[in-house]
Amino acid sequence: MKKAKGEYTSSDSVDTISELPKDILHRIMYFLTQEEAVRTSVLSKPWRYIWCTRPVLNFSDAAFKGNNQEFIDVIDTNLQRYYDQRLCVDEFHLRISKGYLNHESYRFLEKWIRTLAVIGIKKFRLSNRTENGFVHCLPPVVFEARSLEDLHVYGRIVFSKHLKKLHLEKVYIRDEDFHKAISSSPFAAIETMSLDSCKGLRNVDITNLRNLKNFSFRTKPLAYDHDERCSIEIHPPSLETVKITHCDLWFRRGADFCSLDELYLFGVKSKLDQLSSCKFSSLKVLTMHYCYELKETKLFIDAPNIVKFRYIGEFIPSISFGTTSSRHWSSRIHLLPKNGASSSLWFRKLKELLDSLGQSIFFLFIIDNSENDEGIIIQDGGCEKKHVVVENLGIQSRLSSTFSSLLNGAFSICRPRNIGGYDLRKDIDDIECVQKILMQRESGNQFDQFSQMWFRDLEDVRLQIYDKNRNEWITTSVSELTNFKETEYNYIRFALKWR
Amino acid sequence: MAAETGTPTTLTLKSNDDELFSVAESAAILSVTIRNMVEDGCAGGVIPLDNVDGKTLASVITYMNGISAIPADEEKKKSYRDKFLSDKDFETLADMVLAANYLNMSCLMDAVSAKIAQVMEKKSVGWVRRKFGIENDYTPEEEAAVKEEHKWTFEGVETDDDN
Repeated sequence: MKKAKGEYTSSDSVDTISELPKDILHRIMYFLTQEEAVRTSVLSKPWRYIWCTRPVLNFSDAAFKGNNQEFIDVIDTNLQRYYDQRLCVDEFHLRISKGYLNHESYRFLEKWIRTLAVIGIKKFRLSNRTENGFVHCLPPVVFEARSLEDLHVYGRIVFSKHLKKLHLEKVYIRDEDFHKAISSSPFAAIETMSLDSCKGLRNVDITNLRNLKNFSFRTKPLAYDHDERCSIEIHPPSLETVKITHCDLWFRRGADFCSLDELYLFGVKSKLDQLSSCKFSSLKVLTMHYCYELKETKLFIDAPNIVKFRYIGEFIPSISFGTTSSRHWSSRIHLLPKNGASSSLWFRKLKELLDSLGQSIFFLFIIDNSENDEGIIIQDGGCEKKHVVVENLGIQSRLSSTFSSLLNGAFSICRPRNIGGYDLRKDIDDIECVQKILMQRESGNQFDQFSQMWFRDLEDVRLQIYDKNRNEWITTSVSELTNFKETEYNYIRFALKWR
Repeated sequence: MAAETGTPTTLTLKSNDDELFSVAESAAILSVTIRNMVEDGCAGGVIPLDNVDGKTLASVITYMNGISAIPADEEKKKSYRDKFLSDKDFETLADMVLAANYLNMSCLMDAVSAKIAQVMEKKSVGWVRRKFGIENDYTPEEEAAVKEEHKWTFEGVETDDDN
């Protein structure tokens, strides 16, 4: 540490601060206003240019000693300098309390945001604390700043009149600011809104956005149950697609979603029973993945034009569609029974679901990850006289004994045209399991009574592999499989022909 | 000053003047530098911290233990930080900000930086020079020129009183 010398300092004073690395001095200056940071340039020669490169810009018209034009010039020159010298700006704060940013200077704000977006701004803070002042606009270009992680807007902000699309990602925005913004008139025109991993929002009510067509909301699953989830209320009849991940969702009772084409719900925790009272006259695709509250609910979906229903969950839901048209539609159901819940009762419940989905073409997947094999015994209880036709059945299990129980269980309620969806690279164990069980039929080996019954019905089994180029399944044999291992022919199925 | 043991995992830190400190791993990993060493499995024996002296490290460990004992309550953490830094002189603060930087502890780094900035806030250039012992190596003409460059920041603040 060097001793400071010179007439201005007392002899025992040591200039430690000037010796600190530039990064640390920048961090200290982060907590100073722009004026105070600039003033450090006069301290001594080593300090002259340190403030120039600090990664934060912080302007406020409250403490500014010049007029409106000078204020804008100072911001403009500073930003231009950062841009020209390719310096980084992590944060940009602009506080307006004297009305130094008005309609005339609005174009500057737009320009600055464009520059900041190029520089790679992470945090943008804009506050307008003018009382009874003008309402200034937040240019929508701010939402094009891909690097932006934190947007904090305070005060009277209006978005551009032509805003049709609003995408906020990793933005911190509070309920008040959000609702203030969307209740302003230009928002009436918005058609697409997506809120992705935004923080600060607790209640989102978009029922007033009458022109909104596409809405998506996504957050990460919460780490703890007591963490507050965001609650969303939707209604507009203009909605065409709604995609919701990890939040609470509320529908108005009896709501008519006359334009809704796709509804995607993932990890939605609120009770969804209101869905039964809503009308979905144009709904084509309904996805419900990991919606645990469905467990307690008997759901009826009034969607006469449904084309695709997709479900992933640990339990068998109780859901039916009020479909009137006889057109073909498909259901993809992935069940991941948590405790290896497969039993005769479980399969009977599955049969109820398949029956209530009526005319659908079924793609059924049962994935059992349990380690213990309780050796379920499947009986063809007589009530299953009419087996449901399933287009494709996929079964995955860690234990081969569980695998054969699951297959028996499935055969007790349905007649799959295909068993498959297996990837040659990953699912070789499952493929061998199916192969072994189906081959028992030919070998005439001993097998249980139930298997004997469905073996009688099974007329033919063919192993097929998917040809990507020709877009069709081609018949092959086990011995030929190894030839495909390193090719792009990866998908395997067993085509079954029943008597 | 050794941290209380009793927690399942304890790390031993060594300062650059060969003082040894033991600290609960859960508190020590507030430092990203230490956390990385733990995750890389280099924390088996003694962790040498070559850029931190014993006096500063003791202080940092007091902070680590204090702050990690507070549950997720940002208000309480903030008031702990304020209290912790309230009696530190500038030399100590400078050592701590260097240590926090080296140890990659953003919360301590920010708290100390803010504390130093607070000293500079709303003060005249002359006052800041005297406070930190900064030698003015500008000629009066040069100084006037620098001030002129950023005229808007100097008007009305050039009072040299020690407040």
